[in-house]
Amino acid sequence: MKNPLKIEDSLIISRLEQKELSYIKPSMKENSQFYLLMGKVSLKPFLNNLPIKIGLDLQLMGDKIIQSKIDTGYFSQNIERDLGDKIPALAVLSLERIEPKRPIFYQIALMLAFDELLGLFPNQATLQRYQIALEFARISHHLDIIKNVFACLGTKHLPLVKLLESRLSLPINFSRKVEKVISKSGLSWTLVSEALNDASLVLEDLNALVLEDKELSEALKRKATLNLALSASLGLSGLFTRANRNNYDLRKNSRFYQSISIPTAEGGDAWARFHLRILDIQSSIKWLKQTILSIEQENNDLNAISIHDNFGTSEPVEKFSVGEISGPEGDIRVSIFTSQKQDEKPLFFIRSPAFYIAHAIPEMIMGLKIHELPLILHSLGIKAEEVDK
Amino acid sequence: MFKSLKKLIESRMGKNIVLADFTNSFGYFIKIQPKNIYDVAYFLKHDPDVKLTLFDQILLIPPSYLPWEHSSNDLEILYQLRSLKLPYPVTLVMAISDELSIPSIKNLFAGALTKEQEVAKLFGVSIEEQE
Repeated sequence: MKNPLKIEDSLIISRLEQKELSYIKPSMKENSQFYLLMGKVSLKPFLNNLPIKIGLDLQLMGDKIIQSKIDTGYFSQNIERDLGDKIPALAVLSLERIEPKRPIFYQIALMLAFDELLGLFPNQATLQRYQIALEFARISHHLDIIKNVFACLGTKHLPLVKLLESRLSLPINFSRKVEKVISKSGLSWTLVSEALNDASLVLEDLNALVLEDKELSEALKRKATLNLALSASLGLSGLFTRANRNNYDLRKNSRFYQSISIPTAEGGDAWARFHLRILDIQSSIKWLKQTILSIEQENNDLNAISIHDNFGTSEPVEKFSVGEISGPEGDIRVSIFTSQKQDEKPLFFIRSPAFYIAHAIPEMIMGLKIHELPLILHSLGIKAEEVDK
Repeated sequence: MFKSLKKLIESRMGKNIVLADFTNSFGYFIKIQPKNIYDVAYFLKHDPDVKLTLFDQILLIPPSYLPWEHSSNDLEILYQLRSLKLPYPVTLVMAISDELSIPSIKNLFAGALTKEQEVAKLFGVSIEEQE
C-alpha cells in the first residue's frame, strides 16, 4: 500500500545540523509503508566510511502509528573486542567512537573499571574531578536535547538556551573528553563559579518560560508515555524512572554526591522527561557551585581529566571489575573480565542506555500521529553511535 | 543481604536451585541451571522482599572468566537484574551448551528481547519462547 502522506525530508533534519536522528525518507523497503532512516555516521578515523543505518519501520493507519520495529545492528562487539587489544590509556581514548561529541561518560566509566582492576585507587581529588566533569557533561548533553526540541517546534526560547550555553561554554568545554596530556591552560575555579552564577539566572528565566509555554507542553504531555514498571522492564533508568516519581540514580551511591538532589517528575511522558532535563541542569549547577566552594584553593587550576600515567604498565590485581556512572539518559557501565588462563585477553562489555532507549521507541510511539514523531525522537537523548556501535 | 537472598531462593524454590554463588564488589552472582532461569527471574522480580524489577543486561563469556570450577568449555551466559532500591545487581549465571536451549525471559523483562535475539543470532544460543 502506498503511503498517502507526503512528508518532507526536512521535517526531521535538525535545524542545528546535529547528526543524530538525521533524516526521514519515504520507504524504499519492500513490505514497508514508511521507513525512517535515523542515522548515518562515519566512524573515521577508526573505520573508513562505514555507514551506520538505524531504521524505524512504521505501520500506519491514516496518520496514526499502529506498529513499528526498530532496526539496529550488533556492532558493539567490535568496539568491545577492540578494547581488549589495547593498553588501558589507548582504550580510554578510543571510546570517542561511541560518543564523539561527549565521550566523557564512557571514558570515565572505563577509567573507574581500570582503577578497580589494576588496584590503582584514585585519590579523592581525582574522583571529585571525575564527578565535576560528569556534571558539566550532563549539563551540556541536556542543553543539546533542549535545543533539539525547541528547534523542532521553532519556539522562541532557543535564543535563551543559546545564551545559557554561552554562559557555560568554558567549563563545559573542559569536560568534553579525557585528555592524554594534561592541558597547561587550566580554568580558574573563580571563573567557573562566576559562569555558574550567570547560568543559574538564565536557567531560572528558561524554566519560567518553559512552564508557561502551552504549545510546548501540549506537544509533549501524555506523549511517549512509559510507566515505571515498563521502563524498568525495558532496561531504562535515568529520566525514564525519574519521570515516574522514582529517584533511582547511581549518584546516590557516591559519597561525593551526598548533597546532590535527584529531581523527579510524574506522568512518565515526554513532557516529564523534558522538564527533568531543566531540573537536572539546575541540580547539577547547584551541586557544582557547592563543590567548587569546598575545593581547596591552593589547587587552583581546573584542567581537563587526564589518564593516569601508570595505566599502561600496571598488572591486574582483580579478576573482574566494573565502572559505572549515572549518565544523563541512564546507567552507563563498563565491565572487565580477566581469564584464569594467561593467554586469554580481557573481555570488555559496555552498557549504553541509548541502546535500550532505541529499542523502547516502538513502545513509546505507538498511537502517535506521524507528524508528532520528529519532536518525540528529538526529545530522546540517543545518538546513532551509541546505538549501533 | 545477598546471603539472605540465597536462603530466600532456597526456601521458596528448593535447595538445588543455587548451584554455586559468590559475592564481589559489584554484587551477587548465582549459578543456576538454564531450565530454571524463567522461574528464578520471576521470583526475583515479583517477591516483595527482593523486587529486582530493573533489567540490566545479558552477557556471554567463556567459562575461564568466572571463579568457579568448570567441567566443560561451555560458554556462560549472565543475566543481570537490579532493584530500584538496592545499589548492586544480582547476576544469574548459566552454562550453556549446543544442545540446550534457554527459556526466554522477555515476558518478564521486555528489554531482554533484543539481547536474547543478539546472543541467538551471533552465538547460536537457542532461546525457547515461553507461553
